[in-house]
Amino acid sequence: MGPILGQLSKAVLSAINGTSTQQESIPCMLNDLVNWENRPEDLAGIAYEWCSVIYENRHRLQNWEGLLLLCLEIGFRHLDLQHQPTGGWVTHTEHHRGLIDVVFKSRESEAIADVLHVWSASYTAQTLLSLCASHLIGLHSLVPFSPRLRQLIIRSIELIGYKKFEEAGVEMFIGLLDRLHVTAEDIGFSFPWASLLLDTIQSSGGAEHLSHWYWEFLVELAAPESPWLELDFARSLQIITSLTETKQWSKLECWMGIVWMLLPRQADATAEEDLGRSTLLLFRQRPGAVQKLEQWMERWGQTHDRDTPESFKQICKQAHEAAQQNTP
Amino acid sequence: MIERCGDRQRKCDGLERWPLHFFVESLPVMLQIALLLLACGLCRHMWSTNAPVTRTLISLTGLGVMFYIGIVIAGMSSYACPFQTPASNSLRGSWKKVRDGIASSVVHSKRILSRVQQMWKRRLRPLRHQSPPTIPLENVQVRQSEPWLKPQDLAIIRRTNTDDARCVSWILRNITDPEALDAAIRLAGEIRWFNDGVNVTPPYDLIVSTFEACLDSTKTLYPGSRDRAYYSVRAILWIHVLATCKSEEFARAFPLPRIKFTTPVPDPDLEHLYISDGIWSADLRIGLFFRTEPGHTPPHSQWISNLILHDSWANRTRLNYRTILYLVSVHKTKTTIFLNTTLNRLLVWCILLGSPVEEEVLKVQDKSYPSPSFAAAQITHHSSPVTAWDPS
Repeated sequence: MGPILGQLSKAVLSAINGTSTQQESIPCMLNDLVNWENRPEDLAGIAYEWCSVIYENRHRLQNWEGLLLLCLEIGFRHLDLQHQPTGGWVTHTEHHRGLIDVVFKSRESEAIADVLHVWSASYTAQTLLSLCASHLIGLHSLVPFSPRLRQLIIRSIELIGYKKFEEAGVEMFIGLLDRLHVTAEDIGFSFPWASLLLDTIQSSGGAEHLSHWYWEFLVELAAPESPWLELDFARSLQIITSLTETKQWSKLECWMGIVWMLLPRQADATAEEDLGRSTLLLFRQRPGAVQKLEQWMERWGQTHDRDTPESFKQICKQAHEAAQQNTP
Repeated sequence: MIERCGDRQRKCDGLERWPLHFFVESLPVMLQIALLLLACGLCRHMWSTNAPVTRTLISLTGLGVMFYIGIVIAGMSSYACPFQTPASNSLRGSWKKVRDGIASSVVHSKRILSRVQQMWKRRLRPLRHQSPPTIPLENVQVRQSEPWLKPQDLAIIRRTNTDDARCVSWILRNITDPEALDAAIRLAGEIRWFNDGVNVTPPYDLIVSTFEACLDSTKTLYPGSRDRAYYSVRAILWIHVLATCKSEEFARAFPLPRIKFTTPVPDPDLEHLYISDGIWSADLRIGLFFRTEPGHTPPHSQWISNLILHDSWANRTRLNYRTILYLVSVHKTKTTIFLNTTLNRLLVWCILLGSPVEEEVLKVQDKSYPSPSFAAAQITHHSSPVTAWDPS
C-alpha cells in the first residue's frame, strides 16, 4: 500500500501545481478518500504535506480552505487518540501555521480537533500549538465540545503551559477550564497540570475565579508532585488573607493543605508562624478542616517518606484541645 | 467417456513410469551417429583412392556437422525454436543448472563476505569507543524484494495472451466439442483483447449465441448449463467493457445483448445482463458493475476495477471522468469491498490527476481476480480460474 499512497501523494502535489483541469479533480478525489473506511495511518503524514502545499498555493486554488479541512479529515479524523506516532510521522513547515486561522474560523469542532491532534502528538510542533492558545480560550463560547475535542484541548493545555494562556487572558482561560472540568482520568501527566493550576491560583484574579473543583484537584496533584513544585510564599500568604477576608473557607482549606505540602524544610520561622496563625483561624471557623488536612498531610508524608512538620502537628493538637473544651 | 479417460490416464502413467520418450528420442540420435560414422568411414576409405572426391566428401560432412551444431544451438537458446533436438533439450537443462549454480554461488559468497565483515567489525569494536549493542546478524531478517514481473516474463505473458486469443477464436469457430468450447469461453473472459499486440477480433457473436443457447424460450436457464451461461456472460461483459475503455465508438461493435428474463435471475452476476437494455451509456454500465448492492458481488467489482486500472494506465487519461465518479460511489454504499479495489481506485485517481503511475508501483499492486461468489453456491462446477493480471 505504501508505494501506492506515495504515488497518490505525488499525483496530488503535481495536480495542485498543475493546470486548472487537474485542480478540479482534487476536491472530488479528497471527498473520495474521506469515504475510505479504515484508512491507513500513513495517510496522516501525506495529508499533512498536502495541507502545506495547498496553503502555499492558496491563491491559485478555489475553495482552498475547504481543501485544507478535507485533508485534515483524511489524515487525522480516523486516528485513535491514544495513537503513538513514530518519529517521522509528520513534517511541519511554515505554511502549516496558516491552518490555525482557517480551522478556528471554520468553527468546525472536529476540524479543530484534527489540528490539535496532529500538533499535540508531535513533539516538534510546540510553537504551532502555542499559537492556538489565544484561540482556545474563547472556544467554549463558540463551538460545542465533542468528547474528542475536549480530550484534545486538555492535552493541548497540558503541552502549551500556563504562560501562553496568561498572555491571552486569565479570566477567559479559567472559563475554559470550568467548561472542561478536567479530572485525573483526562490528563496525561500530573506535574504540568499541578504547575499550571498553581500558577493560575497565584495570578491576579485567579484565586477569586477558579472554581472550587480545581482547588481540590490541585491538592490531589500536589501531593505526589510537591518536591518539584515551586511556591511563592509571600504571594501564598496574600491569597490566604484574601480568602479569609472573603470567607471562602473551602478554598482556603485546600490552599492551606497545598501550602503546608509545599513548605520548604528550612522555612523562615516568621513565615511558619504566620501560616500557623492562619491555619488556626481556619480551624476555628471550620473545625472539620482539621481532620481533612491531617489526612492530606499524612498521605503526603507517606508518599515522600517525610514527617509532617512539627509546627503543623502542634496546631492540629491545639485545634483538637480547643474542640474538646468546647464540647459540653 | 469416463472409461476412455481412465484408459488414457493409465497409458499416460505407464509411459512416464517406463521412460518411453528416452527410447524414442534415442532413435534419431543413433541414426545421426550412424550417419556420421558412415561419412567418416567413407572419407577414410576414399582418401587412399581419390583425393579430390575425398575433399568434397569431407566438406559436405563438415557442413552437415556444422548445420547440426547450429540447430542444436538454436534449439537450446529458445524453446520456441521449431528445430528441437534431444541434444538441445539436454543442453538447455544443463545450461540452466550451471547458470543457477553460478547465481547461487554468487549469493552465497556475498553472504560469507558480509559475515566476515560483521565478524571483523565485532573484533574491532572493543578497540573503539563503547558503542551500543547491535542485533546479531543471524537475528536480522533481511527481506529481499522480488521483482513482480521481469521483462522476459512480460514478453512471455504477452506472447501467451496473443496465442490464447488466437486459440480461443479458432476453437470457438471450428470445434464443436462441448468441453473445449467451455474451456475456450472461460478463457475468453480473461484474455486482454485489443491490447498488447492482440489483433484478433474476439468471437463475440459466437459467445453471445452460446449464452443464448443456455436459455429456453421463456428465458429460463436449462438445467446443467449454469456454468456455461456464467462464463459466457463474464466473457461478454469482459469484451464489452474492454472495448468501452478503448472508446465508446469502438464498443458499439460489441453491443451487450438485450435479454429480458421472464423469471427472476438466480445469479447476481448473470443479472448484469438483465440491466443492459441499451438505454444507458457505457460509463453508466461500468458504474453499475461497481455498485455493491445486495447481490452484486465484490469479486465482480474487483475484476472490473482491475480492468479499469489496466486500461486507464495503458490509455492514460482517455477514461471518461464519469467512470471515476462511479468508482467513488462504491464507497458511499459502505459495504464490504476488497482492499485491492480501493487501491486500484487510488491508482486510477493518480492517472486522472494527470500523474503517470510508475510502472514499479503498478507492478506491486496485486491484480488477482478473486473467486466469484457463485463458488459458494451449492452447484457443482469447475473451480474458478485465478487470473494473474499483467498491468504492463
